[in-house]
Amino acid sequence: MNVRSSLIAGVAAFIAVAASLACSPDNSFQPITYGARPWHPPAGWNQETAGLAPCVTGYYVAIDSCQGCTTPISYALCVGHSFTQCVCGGPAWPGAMCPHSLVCCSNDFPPYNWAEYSIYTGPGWAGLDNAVADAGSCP
Amino acid sequence: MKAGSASDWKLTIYGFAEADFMRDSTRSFNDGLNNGVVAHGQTQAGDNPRLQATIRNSRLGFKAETPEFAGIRSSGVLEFDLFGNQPSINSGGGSPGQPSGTGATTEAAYFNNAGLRVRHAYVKIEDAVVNVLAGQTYYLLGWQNYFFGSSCGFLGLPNELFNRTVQLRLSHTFASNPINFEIAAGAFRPVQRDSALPDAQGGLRLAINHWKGITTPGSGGTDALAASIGVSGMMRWLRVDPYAPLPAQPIPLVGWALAFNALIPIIPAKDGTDRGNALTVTGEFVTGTGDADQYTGMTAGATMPNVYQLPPGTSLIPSGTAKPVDASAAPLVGAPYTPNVDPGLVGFDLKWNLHTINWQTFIVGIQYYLPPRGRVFISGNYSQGKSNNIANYYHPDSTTQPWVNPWGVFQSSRYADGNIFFDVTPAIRTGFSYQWVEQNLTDGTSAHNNRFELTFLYFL
Repeated sequence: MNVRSSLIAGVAAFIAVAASLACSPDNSFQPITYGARPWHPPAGWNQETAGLAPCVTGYYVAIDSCQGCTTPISYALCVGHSFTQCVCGGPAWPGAMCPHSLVCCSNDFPPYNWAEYSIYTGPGWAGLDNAVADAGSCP
Repeated sequence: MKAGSASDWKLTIYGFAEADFMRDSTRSFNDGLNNGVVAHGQTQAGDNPRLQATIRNSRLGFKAETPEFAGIRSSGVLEFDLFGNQPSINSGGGSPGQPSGTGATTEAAYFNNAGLRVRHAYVKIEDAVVNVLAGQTYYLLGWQNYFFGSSCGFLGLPNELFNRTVQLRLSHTFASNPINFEIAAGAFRPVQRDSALPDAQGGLRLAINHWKGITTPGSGGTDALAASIGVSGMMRWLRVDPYAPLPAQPIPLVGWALAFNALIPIIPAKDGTDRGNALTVTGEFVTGTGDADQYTGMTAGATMPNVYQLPPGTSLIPSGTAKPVDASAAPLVGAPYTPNVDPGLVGFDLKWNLHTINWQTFIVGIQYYLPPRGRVFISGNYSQGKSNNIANYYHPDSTTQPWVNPWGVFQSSRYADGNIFFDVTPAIRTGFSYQWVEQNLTDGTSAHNNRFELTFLYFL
């Protein structure tokens, strides 16, 4: 195949790929931070009924479970105005603070630059699980 | 003017001096209509007219050609106009693309002291196998500028592919007496440098050499071009920082576009001097997503956020800004957020997922050169553009997204113009034009602008 034939084949393939993209769905999950995954609040999650203001992106609630996490504390992340993603606890970063009334192990800290949402203590909150609030349980 | 015509070294100086006078029924636009947003009704900008006079579309170019060496021909082009980057000007009642208030410079300085802008700057190397173009010139998408219509209005017309950028393009033309078949592909400056990948464009074009039509791309450069059809495509990759505390994983998105073009000589001509009673039609259809930058000045008003959300519990007033805590307190503002992508390409939905913005456009143009010599010619263009998803992201109900201004975002537009040109001498051309543009905004209303334009050109 000479240079011209290669160029023709390349251009034709390129246009075919561009055409195929016209039918591609655009609904892939978009993690809000590194390691984030989809999350649905547990039954009884009463952020709204507790009279708390809507959350905004950049705020978290410490939770007791996030799929695939092994750290004692995980974090539900607010995307827009609702908690729809979660992330495992991570290493400390300069200025990092452990969630209110909890004790973090070395790999239990919230994601970088995220802040704690108004204190939520309803179902799903990590503080309801006594084990995670116990510094003595850190490995 | 050509220097050294007796030798193989050539330097061509070309261009034109142009003066335009345009009156608009609204205060929506500067001198270029392009794809700007028409001001909403019941606003100061939408309810009042504007008149402008400008020489900014004047042009000066240099083309150098060197002797063939080892079968390689080379040339270089450097071309400028007077649309250089300039500070914004006064905008009394505000315009969709320009906030109200005092600009950074005066109207007088903006129009009288126009700044130089580079249009083309490239080197072209040609041999029997492949042609290489490196530098800035038209995009390949739409096979610009072969299929441009004729108008007094500054190109690109609304809904018409028209832009230039830096690129590395390979092409080859399979030439024969009856037909030419051209293929081209290239790597282009990425629309978002943080994508870390170049945009890619490619195209195929067929020309029927002995079926020629007279055409004028814009208001100058009248010539005979072969009947032609072209198909071209674009693919690009975006990596947009999420609207969240950073660092965070960039959001990957893909943009693409497909364009189909045609130039049909209805009443053909023998060559560029055979203009009398020549009739030519041009057309373009484009579908794509994340491709708004391929249209001149096209954002449709789709801005990106510039501040982070306010802390939980902060009250918002209907305009989307923070409500003062008390009468004496200044409004709260969020921390600055700097999007790493140009506006108009992507938008957040109400679930805060980021999407590329879809567009479908078409434009048809017709130009007729009156007998006996074509010194007088008339032209008309009609175009439409529509996005089937922009209203999902810039909707009046998006009150939780303070940067959304549904009064200033359009989801579809229509454009029509009619033009008459008269070549007073081979060097002097005058033109008169009426241009109408209507846009449907995402709040469900529509807005339109009427423009009358008078053009004078002197060709170097």
